[in-house]
Amino acid sequence: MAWIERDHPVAEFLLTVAAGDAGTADAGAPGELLARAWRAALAEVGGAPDPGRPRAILLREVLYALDDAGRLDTGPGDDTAVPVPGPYLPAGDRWEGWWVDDDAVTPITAALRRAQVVAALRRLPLGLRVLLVLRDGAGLLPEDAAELVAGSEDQQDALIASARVGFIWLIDEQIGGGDRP
Amino acid sequence: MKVADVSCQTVGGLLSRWYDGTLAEVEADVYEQHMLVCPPCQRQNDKLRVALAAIPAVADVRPGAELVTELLRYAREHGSAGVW
Repeated sequence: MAWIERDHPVAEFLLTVAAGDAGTADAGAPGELLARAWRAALAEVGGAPDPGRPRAILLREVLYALDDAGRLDTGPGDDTAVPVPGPYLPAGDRWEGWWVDDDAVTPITAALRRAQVVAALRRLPLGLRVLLVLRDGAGLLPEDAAELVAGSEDQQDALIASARVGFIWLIDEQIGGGDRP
Repeated sequence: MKVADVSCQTVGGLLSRWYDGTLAEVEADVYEQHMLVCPPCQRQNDKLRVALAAIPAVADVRPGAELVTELLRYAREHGSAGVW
């Protein structure tokens, strides 16, 4: 009981941000996909002498359930539009690489709502979006996350950095401060 | 190395590993010194913490009673009740 109370919220959240919008009626409703993931995780954790980390297993099964149902959001997304750091002053400027002005970064002044966070995450490519939820939502270790997303553990520093910076800028769009030069 | 020699862009490249606490000592020194003199980078640092903290905070959908009941039954039937 403790396991489901603890890990269901992040499993449901992963399913929400990783699922495509255009699921077919017979592909499984979110509730059924979550139940399917839970059953698979429960069978694995309960049946193995050293099953590993239950949360990582559950989240893996969420992704498998989505994939099996054809609901994984592998559409075009914004793969070519991951925000990059900046804006910084350009090469040749005396202050090259510094922010264009002191107001270039606007603070987050109010608690972020679920809809804002989901909308920002869903603008990221699927791999980065899943990695962010696994690492910063679920608190998985890099080695556990590496088993669920493309790229090796060694590549994760660059991937998670890109995901985090992109997420900050996409959150800006959600809170109305995203007018980038 | 003077603080002014290290740009915001360079420091921005350290931000994610700063958050993870995995910067080498020399990198952490550079990062912290830059933060002392650069309000936009301070805000970016704060913004990362706030934005990332929001992910687990909004993952708040509790399991329904029906699902819990079904999974408890499943665990009993498959001899895996001990994992709870």
